[in-house]
Amino acid sequence: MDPYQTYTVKQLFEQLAQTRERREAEQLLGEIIKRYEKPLVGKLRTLIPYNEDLIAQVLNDVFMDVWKKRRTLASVETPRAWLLQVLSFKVSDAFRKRKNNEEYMGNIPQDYFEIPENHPDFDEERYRRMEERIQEAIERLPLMRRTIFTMKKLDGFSIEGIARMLKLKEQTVKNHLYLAKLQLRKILKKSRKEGWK
Amino acid sequence: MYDPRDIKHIIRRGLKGTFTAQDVAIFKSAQMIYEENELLEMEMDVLEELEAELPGVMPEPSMDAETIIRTEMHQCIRCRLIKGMRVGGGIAALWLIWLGIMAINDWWSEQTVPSAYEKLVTAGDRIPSSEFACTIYWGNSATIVGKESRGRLGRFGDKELRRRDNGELELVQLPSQFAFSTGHQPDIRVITGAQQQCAVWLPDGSLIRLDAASDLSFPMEKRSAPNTEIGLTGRALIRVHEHADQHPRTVLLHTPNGSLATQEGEFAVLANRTDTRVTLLGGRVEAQFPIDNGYRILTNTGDQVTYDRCCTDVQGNINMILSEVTRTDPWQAVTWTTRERNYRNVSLREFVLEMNRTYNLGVKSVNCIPEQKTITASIHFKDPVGKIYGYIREAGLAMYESNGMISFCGPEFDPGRPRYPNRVSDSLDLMDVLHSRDLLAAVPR
Repeated sequence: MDPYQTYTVKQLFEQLAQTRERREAEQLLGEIIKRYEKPLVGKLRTLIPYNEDLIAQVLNDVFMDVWKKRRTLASVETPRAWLLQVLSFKVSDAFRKRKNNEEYMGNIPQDYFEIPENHPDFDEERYRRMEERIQEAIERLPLMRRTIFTMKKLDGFSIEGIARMLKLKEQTVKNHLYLAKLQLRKILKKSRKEGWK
Repeated sequence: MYDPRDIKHIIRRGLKGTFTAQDVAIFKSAQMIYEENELLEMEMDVLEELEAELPGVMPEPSMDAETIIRTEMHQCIRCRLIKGMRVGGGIAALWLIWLGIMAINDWWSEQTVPSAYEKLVTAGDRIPSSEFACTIYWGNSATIVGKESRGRLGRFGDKELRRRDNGELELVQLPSQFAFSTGHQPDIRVITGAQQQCAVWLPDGSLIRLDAASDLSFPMEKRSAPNTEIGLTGRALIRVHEHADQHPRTVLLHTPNGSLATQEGEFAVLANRTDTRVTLLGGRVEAQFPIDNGYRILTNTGDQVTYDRCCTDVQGNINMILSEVTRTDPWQAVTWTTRERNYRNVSLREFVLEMNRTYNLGVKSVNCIPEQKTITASIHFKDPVGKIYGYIREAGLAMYESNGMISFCGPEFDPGRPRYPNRVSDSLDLMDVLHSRDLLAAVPR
């Protein structure tokens, strides 16, 4: 039995960062590939349909990046999210490299995360209503949470910056943010039950 | 609606391409509540779920850790090689550029940077060559070269003398049909008198600048061809260029008590009957003097060697001494080329000797000038001799004239000359006595 099967992905990343043994590192990378190759291929198929060669190349690049950056992997907080981010960068790179090819011009796929506001499916009015609801929910947060949440989400300050400005510890800011999001979800869930659509 | 499960459902629809307008709006607004990492984690959950739900649809894994590691290693090696080649190429390029710069610099130096001689000739504070004058002797003929002389000045056997526009003389070798051999041919002699200087280009391309009271002899007979032999008495600045010939040519300079040889060099020579001093400005000069271990090589700018009298032995023979090669300021050896010579607290003896050379004062001896006496003076090359006398008198030195010669040792008495009247003090200035200025006053009544 593979000893690394029971490891979480975070543990795999940390172990890969620490180990100096080539064989162990190889096994750890193999385990990461084994776990995430298929999900990543699934994602790639939504981004680059009908181009298995390019998919294979991008996938190869993603795991190559994991290997190259293995010494810094211990600092990755959310490894799975990190893998998807790397994937996104590699897809962009692959398309940029082929930019001169007419076939790909203007055909760069977009992640559904990056929904443009002029997308045909985008309902401006509905989005605005939802935003208002969220704003109302935000206003119902306690003062400190509201302030921190607003600074982070609307004003775009970093956690470090907020901590410095409000003279708080970074962990306190993170806690406030976590609680604010939890409370917002509760408020919004409650609003929906009350009949809001 | 903003529950993670709901969001995951929306992501699932997004991945399947079945996003609705409501999904888009919810997902966009959810980005305010959820961090990007959280949404990505949710997305990964969904992808894993999808993969678990449709195992047959996805292809078998094709990635292999070993292959990736090997590929990365190859890439790394290639990357390092390319980097190394770039660095090597860069160094090679820099080296080539450096070589190119050095070559251009050398070429440019040859083209534009004047040699020590040219610096002297062209520098603003040097005596211009248009002022040059001298006399050329060949056998019984004499050619006086003045400031106004121009063009072809004469022919000496198969050599022709010309004066360039800049005032320099040029000895040109004529074609062989002009050559004639009727036995011994006298040397060509270039002689400078008082307050005269002269520059002569020899047929081999050597350039010799003569100070006042100098004598350059150039043999018409090719004694040691292809080498050039010349003789010098006096003071000169000599430039010898290296020849492009396969066999190196040497210029041999004979002084009254030594000889100097060079294939390429610039040097100043002070060649008197009793002493020789050589100062190197550039190149290499070999000096040979008639004394044990009398061979010296001068290779660095400023190298100087002096061959001079040192002492007299018990039999009354004068012994000579040859100094080691010492480093001096080379420009001091060529101050005689300047328009204005400035002397600050220099030895009066040195000053008198220098002026004697330039103005041909006829100084008999400087031994009577006190050694510790110094003088500060500024002499322009056109200053009259009277100014020199003035400086010497100002320094507190009495001059006595005898048979056209100047002495600093007091009046001289020789048997062939009437003596002073009785009781006339010998300490009186002879000039005054001769001009009867103090004679009556001196004679007791």
